[in-house]
Amino acid sequence: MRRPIIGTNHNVQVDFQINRSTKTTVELQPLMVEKLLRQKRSTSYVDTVTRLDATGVHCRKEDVEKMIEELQNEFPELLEHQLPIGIVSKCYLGEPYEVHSLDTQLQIVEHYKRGSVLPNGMEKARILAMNPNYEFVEVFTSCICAVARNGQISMIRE
Amino acid sequence: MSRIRPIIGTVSSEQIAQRESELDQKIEQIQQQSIDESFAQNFPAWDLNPPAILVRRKGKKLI
Amino acid sequence: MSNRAISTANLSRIENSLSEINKKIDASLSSTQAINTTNLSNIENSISHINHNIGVMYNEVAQANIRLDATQSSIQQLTKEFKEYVRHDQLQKNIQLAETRLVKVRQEIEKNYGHYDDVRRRALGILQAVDISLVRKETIESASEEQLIAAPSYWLAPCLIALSAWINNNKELAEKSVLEALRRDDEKTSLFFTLVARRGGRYLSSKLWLERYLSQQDPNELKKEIVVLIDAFSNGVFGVDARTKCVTIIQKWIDELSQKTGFVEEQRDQWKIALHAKQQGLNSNDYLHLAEYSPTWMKLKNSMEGAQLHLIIFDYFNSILSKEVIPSATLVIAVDELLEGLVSEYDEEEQPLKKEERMFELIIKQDGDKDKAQQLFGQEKLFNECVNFTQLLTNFAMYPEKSNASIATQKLAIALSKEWINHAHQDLTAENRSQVPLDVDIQIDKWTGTTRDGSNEEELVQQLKDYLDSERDHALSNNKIGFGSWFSLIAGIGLTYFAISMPFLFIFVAAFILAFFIKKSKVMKSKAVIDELYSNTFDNHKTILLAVLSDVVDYRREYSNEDAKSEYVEQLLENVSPVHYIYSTYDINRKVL
Repeated sequence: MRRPIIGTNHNVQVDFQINRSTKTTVELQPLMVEKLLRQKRSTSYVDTVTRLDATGVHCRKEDVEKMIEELQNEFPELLEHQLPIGIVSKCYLGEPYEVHSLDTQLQIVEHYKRGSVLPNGMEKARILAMNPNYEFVEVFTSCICAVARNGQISMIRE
Repeated sequence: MSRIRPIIGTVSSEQIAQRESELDQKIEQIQQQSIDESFAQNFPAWDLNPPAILVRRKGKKLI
Repeated sequence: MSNRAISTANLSRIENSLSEINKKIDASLSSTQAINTTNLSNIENSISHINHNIGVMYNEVAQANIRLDATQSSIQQLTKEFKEYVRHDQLQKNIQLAETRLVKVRQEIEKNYGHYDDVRRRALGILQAVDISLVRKETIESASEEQLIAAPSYWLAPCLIALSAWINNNKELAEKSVLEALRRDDEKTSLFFTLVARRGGRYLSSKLWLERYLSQQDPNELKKEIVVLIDAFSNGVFGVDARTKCVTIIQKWIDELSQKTGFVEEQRDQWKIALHAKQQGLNSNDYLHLAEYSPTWMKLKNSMEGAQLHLIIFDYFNSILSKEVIPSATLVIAVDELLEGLVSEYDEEEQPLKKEERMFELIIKQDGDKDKAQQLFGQEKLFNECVNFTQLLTNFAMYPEKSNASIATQKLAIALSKEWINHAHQDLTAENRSQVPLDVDIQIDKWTGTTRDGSNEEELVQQLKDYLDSERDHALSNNKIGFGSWFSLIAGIGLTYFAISMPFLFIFVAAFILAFFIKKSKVMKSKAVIDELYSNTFDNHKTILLAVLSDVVDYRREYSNEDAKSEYVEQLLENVSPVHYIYSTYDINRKVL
């Protein structure tokens, strides 16, 4: 059995400078944010995120970078702290791994076994992420958005 | 446990068109039937239509 | 000697004085007695006299009390009657005042708006096709000048002229009058001609007028006529084209309302509540084993009920959307009544006076009781009721039973709300899915185990066996020949040695050894019992376990099936469009499996 390269103690180093400048400086009201998050996700966004899954164990810096950039492009009106804190999806590494997450704050990808709890409030997205009807789940501070193949959103508020 | 499974099939576009025209016909029928003949017969052939003035909302409420 | 003489003299003098004093005391005593007796009897008399007087007074007071009570109730009676009198007087005054004022108000109405009634009468006359011949005969021009001056701000006056001009084939006058009418009240004029044109079979014209009327409406404050109008055009009363056009306008209303922050979210939340309310309880015979032996059961039950909701929702919308719309003539009647109502109702200008008139009428009718009159006035239909469009939409789509709307209108409302319904449904679905327990706990007696999908039967059976085995072993370990019994055996054996020399000790030897063997046999029996007990328990628990696992398998399968039906709702709503809502675009084939 291969030893997981990306494991619980390994962090992908945050050396690369991600350009975190968002296109707006106006903070939207919570209701406006909700309205925005309701909108269908673009195909390119969905594709990029699902492709991340396919890279499996070897998750390269560039992929994570691209992923985060894609996130910013998908939500240009949102400020940094309004972006998803993480994205959770089903892990195809197989047993014992169930889900993996892209933690946007730490910019790392982690894989989680059955029984281990996701940090930062991302645990609540677990079951939905494992559900085959959704490609992945975006975790925000006040809600989670389950994204289907066609980009449609189902939202669960806190 | 429910044993009946509804299955949705779509109707073809010809059928749709047909149904639409059927319903339209019925509507037109009723229209003809509901004209007040004794009233209608008094008016000349030309219609009295609204002018092409822009319509404004009464009170012009701001949204 | 002289001392003695003095003293004797003194003494005798003193004696005399004393005896005099004594006499005097006696005398006074006797006189006191005499006084006492006299006075006492006097006093006695006085007292009894006083007593008598008190008695008399007491009676008088009692009498006075009775009279006082009587007086009081008389006073009360009097007060009551007085109040009644005052009230009656007041009521009478009210009536008189109302009557006087009524006359004044009516005079004022007549003076200012007398011609309005005239206009209304004439208009109704034309509409009822009664006076048309009269209209023809009349000299339109002079009559129209007159009317316009007499009712300078009443919108119906120029409409009447336009109508008359139209009948008389005077296009120029007709169009001029229409302009004037629009200037006075665009909304009412538009509605008027919508209805008139429809009644006369001019559907193209009525469509144009209807468009004009609707474009002026504020979706936050729609007139109550809108309900009939929506019902009418959605059923095609104004024609096929009008329906399409009106739907477009209504969609604009929704777009406008959607701009308001929170509007869409509110709709969606309302739909979530309405949809969720349709959830039904699980059949109590399903999954009996899971219900009894799983601590996770409540969560499982909730999840299943949530999944079964999809079909329920589907059926609900389907039942409305697949019904055929049958255009009928009854709606036309309602529309015609609108016209009569429009023509007969009082103009805004007249309303203050009309309201006063009505108020006085009511006061008189209620015999001067102002409060009652006020109450009745409030209950009577308000002059200008307004409805909110969102509320209308909600009622049509969510509570059609309550709102009395026709099928076509219900369909329209659903079609217009479909985005909100979809989102609400998707959210409910996601919530349901996120709460399905991944792991199902099983508890049989004290044994617990977990399964996800019932496929780890072997593992669980083994766990159960191991558990029961260890329990059995524990029980067996307590079922031992104790220290005491071993001691008695050893003692017996030891005693044998001594018993050789003292034969009577053999009894004790026998007793000890017997005790040991009795205990041993007991232990053996208990062991057998324990073995059997645990063996039976294992069999029994295993049966239960297998039943529970079978339930789990069934559960997962059923859940998956029901969950998949969430797509049906999406598909259903996808096929509905506000423009084509009136047509059913799909079929339902029910196959019995």
